[in-house]
Amino acid sequence: MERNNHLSTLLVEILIAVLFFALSATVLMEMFVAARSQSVYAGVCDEALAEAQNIADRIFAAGDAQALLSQAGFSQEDGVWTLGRQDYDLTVALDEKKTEVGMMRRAEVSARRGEETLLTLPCSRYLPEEVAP
Amino acid sequence: MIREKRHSISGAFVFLLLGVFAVFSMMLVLLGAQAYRVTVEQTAMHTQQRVFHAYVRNAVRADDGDGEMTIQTIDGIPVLTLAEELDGERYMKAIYCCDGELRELFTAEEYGFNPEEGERICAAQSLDFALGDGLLTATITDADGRPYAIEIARRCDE
Repeated sequence: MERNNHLSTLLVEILIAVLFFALSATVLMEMFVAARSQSVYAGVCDEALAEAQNIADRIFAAGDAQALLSQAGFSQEDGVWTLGRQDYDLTVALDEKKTEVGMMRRAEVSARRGEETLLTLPCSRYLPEEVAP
Repeated sequence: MIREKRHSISGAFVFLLLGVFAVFSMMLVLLGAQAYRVTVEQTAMHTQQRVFHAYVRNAVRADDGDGEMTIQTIDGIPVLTLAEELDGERYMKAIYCCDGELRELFTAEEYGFNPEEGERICAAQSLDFALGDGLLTATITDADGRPYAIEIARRCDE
């Protein structure tokens, strides 16, 4: 009888210890998953920023931005150029404003992940034209 | 007899429970270590990528205004040089890759280019430059062999 009680106490003690460590393990797993998610998110942001900067500079340097975007694999829909990547989408909105003395070309490069906008880079270039004296 | 048998089954159950717990604990430690290692590796990789982009972009942006940006190959090393004049003396900033490191050398032009004297920026296997259509393209290969392309519009063209 006494041995049986001793064994039951040991079992309960071990069960409590297992429960405690299982709870600790759950908390740790949650932390690891959160750290991994944040690392992946930061990586996606970095890649999107690097590509958006490259695109913005290419648009700045290009004579014909639309031809450049088409060549780079962007597709146009409702005046917005979109390029799908594995983890994010790049969108470019182009705008041109002609004045008496030149042309103001604007572009807005954005990176989106689902509904979330990761970043937006404005890019503008003024192209002066010859004016009659 | 029956009671003794029940006792031995209870004892075996306790040890089985402990064994299962030990196995799951070990799995958790291994999974955690793996997740931590991958996270640290990815963070290091992205930090490296950010350093490359930020450094090359800012270096070029800061000094490309005078139209003095040239690409040369000196002693077999591709070098981007950004020249400027300070107090009547010509200086150059050279960006290149030497001995597995991205380096920057800022010196007076009269002293010439000595790749070993450059300031170390970060680890990199190679760095190549290409100019065309008003665009400077720098291709950096990091220490693990991953290439990164950085495209910078040349403001000095204007």
